[in-house]
Amino acid sequence: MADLTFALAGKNVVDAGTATGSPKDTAEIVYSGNIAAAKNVSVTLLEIDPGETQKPDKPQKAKALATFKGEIVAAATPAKGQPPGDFKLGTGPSDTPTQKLDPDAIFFQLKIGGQTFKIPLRSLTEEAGRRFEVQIQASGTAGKKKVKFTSKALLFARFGHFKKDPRAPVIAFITGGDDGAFFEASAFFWRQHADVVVQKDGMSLQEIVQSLAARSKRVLEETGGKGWGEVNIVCHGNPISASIRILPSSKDRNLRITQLNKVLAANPSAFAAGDLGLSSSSRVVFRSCNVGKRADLLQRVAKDVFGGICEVKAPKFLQVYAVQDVTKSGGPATESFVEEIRKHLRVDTKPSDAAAEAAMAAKFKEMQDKNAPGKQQSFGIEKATFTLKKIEPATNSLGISLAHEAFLTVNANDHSPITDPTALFVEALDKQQTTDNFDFSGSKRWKFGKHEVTSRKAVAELEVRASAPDTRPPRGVGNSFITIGSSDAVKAELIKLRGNAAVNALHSPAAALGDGTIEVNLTSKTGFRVIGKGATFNANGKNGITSLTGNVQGDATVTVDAGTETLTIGRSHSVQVNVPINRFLVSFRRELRENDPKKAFAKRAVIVPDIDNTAHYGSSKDAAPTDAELASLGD
Amino acid sequence: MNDDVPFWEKQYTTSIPESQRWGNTEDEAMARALPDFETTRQPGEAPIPWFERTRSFPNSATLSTAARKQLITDYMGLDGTNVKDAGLDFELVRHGCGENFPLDETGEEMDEAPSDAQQEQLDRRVELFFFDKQLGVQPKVGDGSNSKPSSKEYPEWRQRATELREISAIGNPRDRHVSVILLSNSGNVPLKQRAVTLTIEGEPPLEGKTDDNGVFEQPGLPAGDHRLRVDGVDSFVAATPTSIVQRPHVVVGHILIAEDA
Repeated sequence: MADLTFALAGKNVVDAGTATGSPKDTAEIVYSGNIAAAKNVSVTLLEIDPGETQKPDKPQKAKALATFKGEIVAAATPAKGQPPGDFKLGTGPSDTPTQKLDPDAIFFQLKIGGQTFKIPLRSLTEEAGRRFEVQIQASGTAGKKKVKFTSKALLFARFGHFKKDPRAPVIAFITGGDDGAFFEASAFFWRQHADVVVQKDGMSLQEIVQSLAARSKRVLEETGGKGWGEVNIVCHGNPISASIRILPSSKDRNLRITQLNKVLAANPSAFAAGDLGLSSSSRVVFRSCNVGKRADLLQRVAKDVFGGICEVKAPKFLQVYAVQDVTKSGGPATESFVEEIRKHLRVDTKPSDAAAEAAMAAKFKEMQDKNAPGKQQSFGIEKATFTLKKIEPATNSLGISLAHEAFLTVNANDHSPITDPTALFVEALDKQQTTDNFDFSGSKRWKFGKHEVTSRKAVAELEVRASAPDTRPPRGVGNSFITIGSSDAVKAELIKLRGNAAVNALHSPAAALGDGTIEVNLTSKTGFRVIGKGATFNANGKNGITSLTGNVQGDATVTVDAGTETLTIGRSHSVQVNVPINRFLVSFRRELRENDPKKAFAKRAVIVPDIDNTAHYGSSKDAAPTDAELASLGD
Repeated sequence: MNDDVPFWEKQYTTSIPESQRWGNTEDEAMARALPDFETTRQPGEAPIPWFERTRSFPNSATLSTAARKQLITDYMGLDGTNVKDAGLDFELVRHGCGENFPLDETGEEMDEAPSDAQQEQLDRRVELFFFDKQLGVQPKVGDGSNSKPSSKEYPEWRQRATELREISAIGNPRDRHVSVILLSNSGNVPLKQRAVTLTIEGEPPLEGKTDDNGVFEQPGLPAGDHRLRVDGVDSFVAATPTSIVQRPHVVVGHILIAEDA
């Protein structure tokens, strides 16, 4: 039976590219049928799944990508195993594709009839990062009969980060989360690109390491010792942290340096899982929003989690995965980036739309001035293109451990909070400005809420303090008794009795007192009074010195007026205070496209993630951000 | 040709005699004919469950009314033409030929001297002839009836016609081969020492194995695309001229190391 079969002669999966990033692969189609001669032969490449991401409820028909016309010319002496004729391209103006490629168009290269052509695919706008499925159709006239061929074997052209293929196996861990669509779409995407996909909601870094260790023997066998080419970790993220558990027992999905430090301090061998099947040519890639802005975190993960074996990367943009329909078993999935203007406002109530837009306008200008000098876009024109807008509270809480004297009025016995402890909170928050504990944000970026004392604990030592505003350290400290005198750091003469009489000597012989008993010796029997509940004090003259003895019970505090001073005798307290800190995040988002203010947004090419583009991905090999850069991440 | 879906839906109703009524057999035949059946079908999946899954219809033993309507619509869309949408204006005339014009052994030409009482499936056929609108049917059957034995009109239509043939990718002679390097889903790992099954349509499967470089070769094949199975994953691979050797073939959907490895 006569046939007009054409066959894929090269790779069945080829890389696609653009004018600025030409693909290295070339697909090839040859004639393989048994017809020796045919006229009016037409070979058409059909993309058989066009536009599915655009109209998921209305699948479209196949779309012709290119048509080649020519004829099958009989071979003079066809060799065994060869078709009896060859496909010769026509030389007419419409025999080969003449479509001029847009500079941003995505295409793949095809060799047919001895010539190589660039075959345009659908625009990046519609199909960024996807894998195109191409079918071959051929028709012609053999004698009086028309013959036609449609391929079952498909040619796959793919575009995206695999433009820089790792040339080694690829594994993807989908760690799940509250945004099911993101993770389901990412699973579809990675099933189309990876050799192994592991999907588990809540999967921790430690489990990933253990999973790699469990597969290391097999992957080393499969690759002749080369190991994994790319380990992908899909999780949410932000400019400060990745939303993934460090350990399975971790309460929160919160990978940041301070948390990693805590885990490693408690369990230094948390990631000592043995051989992970990695080599220096491997790469670990977090597919999570903005984590690439923290090279310092990537460095720590590379060193402490993956043993310093290979590079760790992450996007510098919001990461997006999308799929036609997650309820279906197949279909194209896309990976792309989103551009975001982001600003925290130091308010504790929701800002008005006008205030939010003003903040976005200022931030947008700042970004344009920095990133696109000479090609700045105008916020007034562009703001309509930011179709995803968020104004949402960003809350945190500051836990502070304070000593008694720092938080309570010193001459009261009720542990009342001082009127305005804000200065203490400011100090505590600003001390952490160079860590990721509070997103590198100091007190100027947060609004303090109403604090509460979460715990108060008496410590063993007794103390004697002078009254406010005396801010000096305690005059004396002891487990069971206190002596205030010339041997103390505070000179005895600074303590005055009522009537300005100087204290000549204060001492308390240890042998005379029991546990928890205080003796304050005064030179005069007069001029003092005792305020205390549940405590009995006696004033006695001893060797010309008046002594005050009593039993301080529990964490009670006794106040003694001595001259112009008020002395407080009591036990120290450790006070734990929790302070809510609030602000509002304003975020405007749009699809990441080329920066060309002269083109309408819809006409700008979508930017496809490129793993080797340093503007797209941060790396553990990058320099760590400066303090100023880190501080700006928390803006 | 009119893509008249309601008309074909009626073929399933009780208004049609039971012996002629359409049902699962016709549903399966239409589903199998759809272009994504072979490319998206899961191993062992029957046509009806496949259609319901890929079109997001509930799984059931027989197609629902809505699902069947979709199936008919998809099937009719295969030819890519709706004569109404295309603005084509023609009159459809049915013409019967009875058993009067059997084909010869090639299945291509009419049998000049057919013997009686033959039963040949190829003779049960439907042919479409398109005639110029202005000239009409040429030559026309004089009395407008069906073709009778030895009548001249139908053979003349065949003689004058330019024929379009769609041929599945199975050709002769069997001197093509499959010579591929099988690669994992990412395209990065040669699948070495794997058992491979190659199936040419209508023939028993051929068993083989890749070598240490993932190379699989099978000579003596007809031209066309043949089904290849490795590690439980199917794909189609083209038989090529023997001058093309060890071309890379990514087994799309292959899982390199299972989770329980």
